Amino acid sequence: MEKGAKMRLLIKFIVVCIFAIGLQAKSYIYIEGEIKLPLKKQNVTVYGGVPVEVISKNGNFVNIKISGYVDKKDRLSLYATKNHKLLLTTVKNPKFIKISGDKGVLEAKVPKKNITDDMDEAWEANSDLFYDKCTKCHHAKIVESHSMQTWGVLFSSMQPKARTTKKQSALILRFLRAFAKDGILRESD
Amino acid sequence: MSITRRRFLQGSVAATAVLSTSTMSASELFSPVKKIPSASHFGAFYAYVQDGKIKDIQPQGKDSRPGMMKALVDRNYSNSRIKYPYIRKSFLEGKPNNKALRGKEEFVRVSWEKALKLVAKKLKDTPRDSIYNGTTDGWAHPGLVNYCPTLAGRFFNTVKGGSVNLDGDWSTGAALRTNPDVVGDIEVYSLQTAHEQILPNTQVYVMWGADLFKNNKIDFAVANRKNDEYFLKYKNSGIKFISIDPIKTETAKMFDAECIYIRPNTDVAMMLGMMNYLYATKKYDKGFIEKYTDGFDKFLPYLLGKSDGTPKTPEWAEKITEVPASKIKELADLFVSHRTLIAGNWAGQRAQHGEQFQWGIITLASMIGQVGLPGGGFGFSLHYGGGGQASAGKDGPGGFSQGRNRVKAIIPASRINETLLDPGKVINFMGEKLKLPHIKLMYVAGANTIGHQQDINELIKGFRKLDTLVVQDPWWTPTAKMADIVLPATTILERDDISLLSGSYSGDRIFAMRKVVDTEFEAKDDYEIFSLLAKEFGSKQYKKFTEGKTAMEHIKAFYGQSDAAKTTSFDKFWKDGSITYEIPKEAYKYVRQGDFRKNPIKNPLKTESGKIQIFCKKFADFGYDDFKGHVTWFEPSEWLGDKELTKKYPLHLLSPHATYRKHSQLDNTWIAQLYKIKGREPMRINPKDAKKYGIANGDLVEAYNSRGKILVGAVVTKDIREGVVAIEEGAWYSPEDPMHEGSRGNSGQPNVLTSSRPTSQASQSCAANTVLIAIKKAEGEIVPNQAHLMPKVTKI
Repeated sequence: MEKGAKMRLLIKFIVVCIFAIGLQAKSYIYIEGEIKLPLKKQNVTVYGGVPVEVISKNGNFVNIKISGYVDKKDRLSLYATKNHKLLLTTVKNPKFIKISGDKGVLEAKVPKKNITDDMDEAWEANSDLFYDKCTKCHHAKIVESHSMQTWGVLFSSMQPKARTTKKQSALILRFLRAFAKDGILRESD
Repeated sequence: MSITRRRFLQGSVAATAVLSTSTMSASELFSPVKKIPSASHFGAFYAYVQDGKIKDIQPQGKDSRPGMMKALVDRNYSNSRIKYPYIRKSFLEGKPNNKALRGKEEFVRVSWEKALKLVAKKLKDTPRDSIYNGTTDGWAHPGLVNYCPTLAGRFFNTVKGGSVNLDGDWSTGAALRTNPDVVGDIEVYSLQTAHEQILPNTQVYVMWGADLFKNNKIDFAVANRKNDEYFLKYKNSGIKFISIDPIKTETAKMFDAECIYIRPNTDVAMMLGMMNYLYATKKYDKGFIEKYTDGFDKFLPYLLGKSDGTPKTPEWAEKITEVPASKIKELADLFVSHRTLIAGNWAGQRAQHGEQFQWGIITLASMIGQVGLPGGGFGFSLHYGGGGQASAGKDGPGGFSQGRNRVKAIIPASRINETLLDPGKVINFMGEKLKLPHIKLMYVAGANTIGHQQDINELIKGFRKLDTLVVQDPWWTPTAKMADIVLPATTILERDDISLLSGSYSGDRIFAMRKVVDTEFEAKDDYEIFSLLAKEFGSKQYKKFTEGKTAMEHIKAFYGQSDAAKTTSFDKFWKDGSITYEIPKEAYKYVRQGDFRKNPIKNPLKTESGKIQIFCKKFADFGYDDFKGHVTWFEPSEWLGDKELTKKYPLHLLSPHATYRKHSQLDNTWIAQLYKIKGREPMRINPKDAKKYGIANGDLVEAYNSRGKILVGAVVTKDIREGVVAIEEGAWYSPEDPMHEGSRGNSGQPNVLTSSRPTSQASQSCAANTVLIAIKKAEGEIVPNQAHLMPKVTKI
């Protein structure tokens, strides 16, 4: 094989690799300021900020995979952790979730605009709300210094003072649980 | 120009004359007295101003206790005001040994420009994870625009991306780290059962250290006096009040309470004695324990002595508490057979092993079985912020947000000394390892660290390790006197602001905190100071910090976020001075844990099990020897039961909240002269102890232990248990000889004697009430107390 052809093959290989890595790299559901995104035709609801694996891209849509934990009593939901405190997705038909032991996987098609590779962007609305509403009287605690359980307590104790709406409370709690000591994500530096 | 106390009093007399004879006064004709509404932690008031001078302060509305707010005038014109920016002399000169001279040398007056540029340079030169934002808590004033904790956090997060912050607070640190896992709420700052539910239902009201009357004088927001009206109702309610406290409090006297003068730091032993008795006699509420709690079976072996060979019987408890076993049984019988509300205080958890105090009350209340019933169970905030008042449930004004702090290092409250003296040390903390940060710069705005931190001599050694200490305050507090750079801030009377939603629990008032007079010095508003500092970092940072708004524009914007703005214009609110929300009828029916009691499946607690955790696996898994998985009695390092240590230090020192101050605030006013003894903080002492040491009422006394010594004035009274003395916290620390390390404290600040030892390895919180001391009559030459004098200053 001539030198130029070898080089073209190598470049093609690198491009394919980058593409493949890009597909497998973690992406996130992005719904600006909303808690969840109903995918009505698929009878699936995905939650904002949830980490997903991109399987393929097709025009304005992206095929994704969400992995999580299932509750034996509730086969219609996938949770981020074993304690079932952070919802990733819900379905109307239990067949949609492939279950193996206490884990489950769901595949869905999501509009391209609702997928981002930027974790901060995916959680921006939630984190902005937390740092806005919960730092008026005192500084914010380091999110990863408390467990999901403790954040639930602290937030419910302080919510009457913060006077957050039901939706704001839900967005803040999702952020605190996702980035908690026993959560699934870490705030970027 | 400063106004002396004498001139102020003359002014007050003149003001009274002006107010009472205004229709006849010629001066009133040409210079009318203005009535300006404003507000403070001591209550809302009208300031009467003539010719730019405050003549008097009168409460807004009904207020039977306006004394402290009147002292705000004296404080405004105090000789202890910081009038100009200052820099400590050898720090300014850059002398290599300057750190050791903190608190010992003169200050040099400089321009604002020079001071701000130097502060900015020091901040720029210091990594953010070596900057400690010591602007702790929000007790300086209740205004939202000049609210120092938020401003300082916002400033550091804006210009540096963050700073080292404190974890928890000195008030409730142990409870904050324990209650969430025990009862699914922090409890100490949460809405309490409404008075309307307590008054008709409670039969026995136990004040376990709680002093309802004294502490409700002030509020984290603007204090109201609604609880005073309820106190009158309680007095005539027929409720039996019991005070379990080494001190006979004002509240105990007011309600003719039965006083149980317990030995300090032994409350948990008494609770265990009662629990053991209730179990042994099968009088406890087994049904409640089974339905509403988790882990009783794991606690029982300890309670019965099966796990450690020591049954926690009333007789066992008597030896520790010196409360007779018969009384412990009698009280347990009384509590379990009547609707009983246990009001726990915070001081009990400000002691070594303080995590056990409120957990003990929760466990005892669970065995009594009345948690969640109207007028039963427990409450940990009935003594605070108008606890018991029904909530309006409305939105108050907005406020600044601080944004995200990217520094993850924290300092647990109480570990300041250790952090400054031993940076990098790894300590246990809530089941994890925590590395104490290396602090090089400390910034304190509107707070007095040498007021609330334990072991002041140790703290000062720590201060002398810092590279830079900046203090921003209206007054030369003891902390300001230790600073390198001092920035003068205006008082609440010298600037416009808008209050927090007030009171802390009723949440039914918003107050215009209107500027009353111009400052007479070069003081600037806290908002302006931080804005100017932000400008030193660039226009982008300045814009981010200020949002391009003036203080008044922020006030209007904050008001606009309240429910009040939907019905009342800002102009009307500002002119009237306040707005009041109606409290819905339903709010008067609130019962703490009521929903949980009604349906624990539908309304579970936010604990691991959804129930009250009598045993907590998470805590047990920490594996600490001073904090276990259930309530445990631990012998303190210093207590009256220590036969060896009491030979040297025979008295237990308690440092309760001040009766006529808010922490250290108002110590520099005339009101302090009403109770100080020869210029020193009073020390309550039992007549039998006084006789033992040859001390008479009004004598100056030296109180001392291995950590230091202080001068106090003796108040001989039967209102305190034998073997215990009480010196209220907050007197401004002042050493007799500032040049001498560990010099005798000359004002009676008890934190010279308290220990910086933490509550336990778990919460690492303040344990100020675990202290033994000795006393002797002060003799020889006594140096005048200089706590409220400004340090020597020069002008370049």
